[in-house]
Amino acid sequence: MEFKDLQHTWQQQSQHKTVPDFKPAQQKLQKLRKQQRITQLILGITGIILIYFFFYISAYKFSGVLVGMSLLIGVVVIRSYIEIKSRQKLQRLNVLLPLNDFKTQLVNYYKQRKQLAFKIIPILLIVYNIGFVIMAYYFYQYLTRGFFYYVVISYVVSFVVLFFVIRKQVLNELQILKTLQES
Amino acid sequence: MSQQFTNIYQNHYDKVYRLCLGYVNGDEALAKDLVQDTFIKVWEHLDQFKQKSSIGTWIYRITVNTCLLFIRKQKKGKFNESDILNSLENTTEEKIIQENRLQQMYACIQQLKETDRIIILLVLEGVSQKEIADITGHSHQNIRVLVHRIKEKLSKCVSHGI
Repeated sequence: MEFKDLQHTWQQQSQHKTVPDFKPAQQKLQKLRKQQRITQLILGITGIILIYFFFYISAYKFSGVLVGMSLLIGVVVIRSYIEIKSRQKLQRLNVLLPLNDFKTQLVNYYKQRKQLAFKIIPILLIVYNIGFVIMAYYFYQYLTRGFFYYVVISYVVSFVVLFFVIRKQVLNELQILKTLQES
Repeated sequence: MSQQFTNIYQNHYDKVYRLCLGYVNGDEALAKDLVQDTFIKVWEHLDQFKQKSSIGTWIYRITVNTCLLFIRKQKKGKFNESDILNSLENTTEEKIIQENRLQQMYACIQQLKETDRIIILLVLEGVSQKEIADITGHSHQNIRVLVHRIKEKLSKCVSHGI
């Protein structure tokens, strides 16, 4: 079959009689921008409160509970910060570049995500577990046995679920990287 | 919204839509999302258009990059048979042949690698090799070889289903 026949068939797909209105897209974008600014503001305020709280508590007493809580909260804050920054980086990729250069940008982005997945995230997970073990020591002392086991089992279950969610996301991103590198 | 953007949007909507539709295996909902993303980027960057190339080439560049970015969503478009096939503007007998061919084309395009898919969609739209070189960043010589190879692959796939 001649290629020009294919091209003819392709171009015979009819055109839109009316082009959809662009205004809703524009409004959606403005709303999204506003939400992003609000999210950043809330995260900023939360961060300031946490730092203030940390210094306020540590000024009066230094305890294992504080260390445990700091590790748990710290990991969540760092993980959220990294994820937000990473998303912002993806949004800032320069779409005006030629396809090859854009692809290089995208490959580099996913290589960084890979580094994050294999170097930073495992460290954060280890630190998070250390934080929980410290807290568990105090839970064991101050909580009833039944409630203590409930907390520990809930933690283990949620950690396993979280691990598989992260694993799925990492495998997806590795697949994307492979597809991009092969094309 | 500036009049300049409105004109660009009206004049280029169809070709951007058709390219996106081919990229997402004829899934109209996904294609519309991609077109919307593309024109949001056009709108945001319009002041950066330096007229080194035509506005059409510049928009195609944004379109193909937006399509490539779509890879992160890991969605496989689903061929929307009724909508696309009903859009063919032919008489009955020829229409059936065209329908089968078009369906096979969508399936074959999906088998190509990401960048090959983008290049062949530009070729199918009738974009010149010089422009494709400009859009993709390949040399003209390189694009000639690439286009020849992908054209052969697509023709073979549509004819023999491989």
